[in-house]
Amino acid sequence: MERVSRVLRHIVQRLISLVPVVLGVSVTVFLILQLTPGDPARLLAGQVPDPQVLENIRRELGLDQPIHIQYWNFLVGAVQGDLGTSFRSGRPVIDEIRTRLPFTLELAVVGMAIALLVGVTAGVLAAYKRNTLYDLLTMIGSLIFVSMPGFWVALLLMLAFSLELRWLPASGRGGPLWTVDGWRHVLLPAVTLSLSSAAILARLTRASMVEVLNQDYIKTARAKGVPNVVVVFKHTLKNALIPVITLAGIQFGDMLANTAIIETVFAWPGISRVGVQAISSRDFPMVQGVVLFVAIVFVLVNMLVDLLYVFLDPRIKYD
Amino acid sequence: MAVSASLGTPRISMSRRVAARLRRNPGAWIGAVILLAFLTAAVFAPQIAPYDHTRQNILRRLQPPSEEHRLGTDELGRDILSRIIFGTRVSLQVGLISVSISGFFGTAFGLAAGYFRRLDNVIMRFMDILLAFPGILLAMAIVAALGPGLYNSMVAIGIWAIPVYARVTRGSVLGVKQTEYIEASRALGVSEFRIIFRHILPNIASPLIVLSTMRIATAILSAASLSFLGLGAQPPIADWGGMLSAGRMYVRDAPWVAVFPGMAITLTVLGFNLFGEALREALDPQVQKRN
Amino acid sequence: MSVRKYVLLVSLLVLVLAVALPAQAQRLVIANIGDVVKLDPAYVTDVQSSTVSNQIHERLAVYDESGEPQPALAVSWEASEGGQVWTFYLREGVTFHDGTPFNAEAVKYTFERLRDPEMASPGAGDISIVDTITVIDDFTVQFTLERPSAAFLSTSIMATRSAIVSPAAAEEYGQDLSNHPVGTGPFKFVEWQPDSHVLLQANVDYWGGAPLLSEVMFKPIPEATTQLVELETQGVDFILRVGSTDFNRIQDNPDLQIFSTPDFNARYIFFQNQKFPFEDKNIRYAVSHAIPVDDIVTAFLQNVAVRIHGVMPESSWAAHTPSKLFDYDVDKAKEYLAASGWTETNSQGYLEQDGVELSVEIYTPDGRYPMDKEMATVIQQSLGDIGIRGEIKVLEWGAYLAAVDDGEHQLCILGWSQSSGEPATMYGPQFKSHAIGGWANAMFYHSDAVDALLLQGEEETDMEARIAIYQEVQEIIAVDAPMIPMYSEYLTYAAQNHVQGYNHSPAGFDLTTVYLDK
Repeated sequence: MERVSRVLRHIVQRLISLVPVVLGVSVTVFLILQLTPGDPARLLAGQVPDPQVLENIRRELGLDQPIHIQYWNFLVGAVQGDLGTSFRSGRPVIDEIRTRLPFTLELAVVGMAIALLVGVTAGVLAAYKRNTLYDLLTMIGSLIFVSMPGFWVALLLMLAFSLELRWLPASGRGGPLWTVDGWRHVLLPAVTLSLSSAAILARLTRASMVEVLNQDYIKTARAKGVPNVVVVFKHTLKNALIPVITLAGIQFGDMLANTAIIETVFAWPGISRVGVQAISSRDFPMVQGVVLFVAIVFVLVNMLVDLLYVFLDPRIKYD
Repeated sequence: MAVSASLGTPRISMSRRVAARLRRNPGAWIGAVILLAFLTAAVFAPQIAPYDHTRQNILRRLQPPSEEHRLGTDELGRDILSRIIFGTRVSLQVGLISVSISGFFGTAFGLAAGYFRRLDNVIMRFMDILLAFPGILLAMAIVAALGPGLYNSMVAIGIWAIPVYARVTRGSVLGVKQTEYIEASRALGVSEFRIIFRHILPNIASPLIVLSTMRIATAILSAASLSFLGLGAQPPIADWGGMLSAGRMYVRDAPWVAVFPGMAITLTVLGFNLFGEALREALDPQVQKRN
Repeated sequence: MSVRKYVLLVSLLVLVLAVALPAQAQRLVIANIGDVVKLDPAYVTDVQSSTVSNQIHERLAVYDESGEPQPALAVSWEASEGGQVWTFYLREGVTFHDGTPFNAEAVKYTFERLRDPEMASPGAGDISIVDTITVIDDFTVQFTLERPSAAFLSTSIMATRSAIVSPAAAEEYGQDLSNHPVGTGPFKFVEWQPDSHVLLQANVDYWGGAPLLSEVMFKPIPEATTQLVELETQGVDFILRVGSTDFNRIQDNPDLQIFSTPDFNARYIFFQNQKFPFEDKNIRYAVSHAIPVDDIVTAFLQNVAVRIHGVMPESSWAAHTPSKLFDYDVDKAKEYLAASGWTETNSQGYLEQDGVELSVEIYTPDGRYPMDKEMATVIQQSLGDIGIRGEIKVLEWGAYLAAVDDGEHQLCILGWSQSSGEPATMYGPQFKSHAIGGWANAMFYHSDAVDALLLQGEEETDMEARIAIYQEVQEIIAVDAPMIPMYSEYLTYAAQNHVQGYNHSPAGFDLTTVYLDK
């Protein structure tokens, strides 16, 4: 009982601590954007930037206001759930995000599931069959995967599975995940996204497993004659998973943030691609919105990871 | 027992022991040979490279590998082998410098947060801010603000990975802090400075080394990503990420333009990982105890 | 089964098939180079949006294949008072997709809306020359200009942003019109899923006759490789961009066809004429001789671009090859440098004078124009060959524009694109001295003679006289050498073989006659 209420209190605390994080992120983005050369109005004005037109655009976008007023206006809007209007599309930022965030989440969740499934399985097996050919091959394989750039893998997979074999479509999102078409479309980008994470997770799982296997209590268990399989899967796995889960949380955040290139190559209608686009077009409200949302999702995911800690490792206390 | 053994081990004999272990590990040898080869290439690039790596001949572009150009020519007719040799300098620099930035700051923050409970909240919230930033967007924004170029990319990539180190360090510190020998050291009145640097740091070094080897790879690849988004090294500098990124346009007609820099990256990363892994095993106090 | 029954069954089957086949949706899927930004024509500034917007909306007049103005929503027009008053006679019986009738009020509404400061439309710049817009009767509208303009049709009436919108829809949706565009064009807007697709449906009541296709879908696919793979695997029917590397691959594919035609764009190397060292004509001459533009175009842009020697692309009626040309000649280049006293080299082999090294910064975007960064690298080497140290600055587009507007560059790569061969719109913004800094004169070029001639060219209505004026302008510019003309990109598209009836023209992407022969 006491433990549950502690965890609840911890959740509330973390939710409250989300506020300064989000505020910090938004101030930082705002400042970086202010330092960035390039005039949003100029980019909207077309090939011939008529001075009168530039002035009109700046006024309509509120860019003629002093910086602190601009930020204050943004903040007041944000508190009321209004993240402003995209300079580029003229649509509310919140709508732009609402249409795209689910697709990026979909991609990252499928990617993470693949990475965990493949990575942890391969890592555990490698630890179990330590110093065998399987172990060696898994570790070499993971090294190769981790050292290939995402866009390169993306192109190779596309050329192989879309062009040569014609199994999977080369771009776009099909339907929702409960449709065959949805899966056919998500598979290539998700696998591309998962590869390096799977490799990193496999290596860490193995390292962590080996470390735990070397602990005294495991040795004691072995000495007592507990079978190897039981030692590996029952006694070791749970403890070895703690660093793996931390890293998986971080990896998930990386995935969310770094889908940009994969979204571009596979023309996936997600949020990262629009974020990159927004930086190029100096679409300040859109950059703010994308960064804030990705940040919030990321923080929430990490909160979950921290909570999992408590269940996995009772030695860590919250107080 | 562990405490006294560890406390009593003189420094010199420990590093000697580590060296001895490394010598016995074939992975260490292979890794060291690869890294040394690339390091040599980096240092003696002007002497080794068969051609001037920036010299173009646009009318002889995209030539397949031949006697004359062992690895073919790129989209500007430059010798790919020479560019890979010179690219070693850039890629090693990007990897090492950006990982040094994130490793130094990240470990410091992580140690402080994990060890001093009062600092924990402040530091980790600050790390959360950094970590919560979408990596590529952060790097893009930093490069857009600072201007393009190799050093700004390194800083961007370095900053991006600080919280990763901080979190892993802190997590490990939390685990190690509660082990018997740390609590025993504390009870014995050992100074905090000594506890952190003599007992905690060596005990959490292995995940950090594994992380660093991986991060060098990630940093080199991140630089390639930035190149993909048009924010890489300024031409005519040869960097593998940029070469790979430029080569993607010709992946179907002239695959060698992208394949060879890709292999160079893979091989370097492999070197770092093999060596790092061997170092981890050699440094591992658990293994040490068994001797 | 008796023979009769069998025959009956077969004929029934044939009948069903015959009925079913034409009813099969004729949906054309097009890969767009990026997502549409805005579909309200007043805000369209990019190719991917104008491609779609031009299916939905129409202008009073359009270009034909030879670049001549043709009637569209206006059936005829006339200019009076030396080109200061323009009267348009509108097409009758046209309705917008929402049922609103098209008439003179709609035209006036559209243009007044464009120049409303509250709208902050870039279109206000296109029509800034307009003084008053008067509705003469239901189907006659008159524009009075602030000064005579021969180029009024090109600069203003036929600009993409001057497409006529439904006043009812514009009033209803206001700033949100972009998400509910309503025009008179051959296709109606159905839906727009951001970054996923835009779907259009045939307008069966189109005044020019219903299009043969029933639906058109634009899918944004930014990566060129992905576009090509989609085309080869029949994921899309049409791609709107073909690079030099892919040209042969498409041509060799028996299932694909390629469309190519000269276009009205031009790409240049600009000197910063008010900055060291390019305020010195000798250095401009030297560099003009030192860069192997012919080789650059041949090597990088085979099949997809053509070399130009003047400001205007060859496809324009105003194109003129000046008598002063700069061939690739390193010796001549060195002579010009020596003429300005650049003879001594420093330890690194670069020219030096009074302790000042001859070095320039070469600004380039990355991927804005095909192979732009690579060209900058070639330029750098060419400069090195004559003893000038070149340093490349690759900037992303936003920062790049800011930098060249401010004249931070010494050398930069820039292009100009338009949908006609009109010289007034090509020369004016780039070469007029009042366009220095913040407009489009990134050369910081100032010539009183050119300023005067350009003004004259805008007001002159006689075609022969206009041609002569712009030839003179071109001759002056060639001698001043404020820039180096490089190439003009072809408009190159590719499609599946089953795409039939398409007429490829730089005047616009016309899908009304297209059908699928599957």
